[in-house]
Amino acid sequence: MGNSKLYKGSLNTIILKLLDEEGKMYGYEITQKVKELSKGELNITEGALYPALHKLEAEGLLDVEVAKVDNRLRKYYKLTKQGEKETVNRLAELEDFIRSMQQLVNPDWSIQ
Amino acid sequence: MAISKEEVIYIDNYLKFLGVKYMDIRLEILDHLASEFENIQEPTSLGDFLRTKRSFVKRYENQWQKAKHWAHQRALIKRIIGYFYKPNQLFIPICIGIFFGFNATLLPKSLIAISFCISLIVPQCIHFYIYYKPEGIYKNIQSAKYILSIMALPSIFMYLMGIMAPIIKESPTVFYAYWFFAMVFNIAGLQEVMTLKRQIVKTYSKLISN
Repeated sequence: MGNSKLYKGSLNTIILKLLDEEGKMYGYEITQKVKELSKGELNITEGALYPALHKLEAEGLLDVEVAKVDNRLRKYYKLTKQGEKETVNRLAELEDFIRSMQQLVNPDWSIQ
Repeated sequence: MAISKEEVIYIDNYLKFLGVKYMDIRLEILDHLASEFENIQEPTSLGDFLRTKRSFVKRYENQWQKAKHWAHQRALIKRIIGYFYKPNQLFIPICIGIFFGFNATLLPKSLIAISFCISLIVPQCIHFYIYYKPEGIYKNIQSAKYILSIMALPSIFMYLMGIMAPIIKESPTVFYAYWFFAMVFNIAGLQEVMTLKRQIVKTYSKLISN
């Protein structure tokens, strides 16, 4: 995506949504999944991803789990109960925001 | 293609070389770098790949520490608030009240001063012992530093003691209010420390055994 500032504010919601769907994911997997779903349009760098993950963990929305994978240990992130509730709220907020933006930018094709 | 054991050790040594000494931070960075390296399509040497990741590694430790510090301070405040409305925790402020009653009615002023100082100093000493005891595993784990950071807030009461002394001497109400909150913060701090200590041991016993 040309202007990364446009999605920066939604990064936490994107992470929560992915974890809600996938159950548990590790850092690199999140970056790849976003790339895949957005057909390469969104590229979350590790410099943006990990601060976001740590912030969500600090807020009590994410829990971590360490598992042995191949020759190393892997840290998985998953939603806490509070995280599950917060995901619903944040998705609703994001949808409202997108709807408002659509109405502002192009009133003829706003989301129903 | 899965990365080999030798390559994992190479990355781990590279992280140590860059100054990432705590194993819990290395675990997370190592996993990310290994996963990314496994997914590179063009043939690239591991050394070249790691050199491109230097700035990410350097930034990582700082921002991790910052996020965790405030998370634990928030947890401490949350725990204190819980003392005043959770039925199973109400006994804590009640016990402090009884303790104050005992001090005010039965002890002479000189002993009250000693009781006051001990109640503030002992919890701080316990948590320092937990972190610094010689056989402790905490020296190699960054998360264990939060054990110290949790007690930063209760320590404020000790730092303020000098400034507060004239006001405390003048008014018994201010003295008991100050003492009450100092004790509540210290007890909550110690409870947080113990909880985190258990979590750290559980999570990182896995790391240390590998």
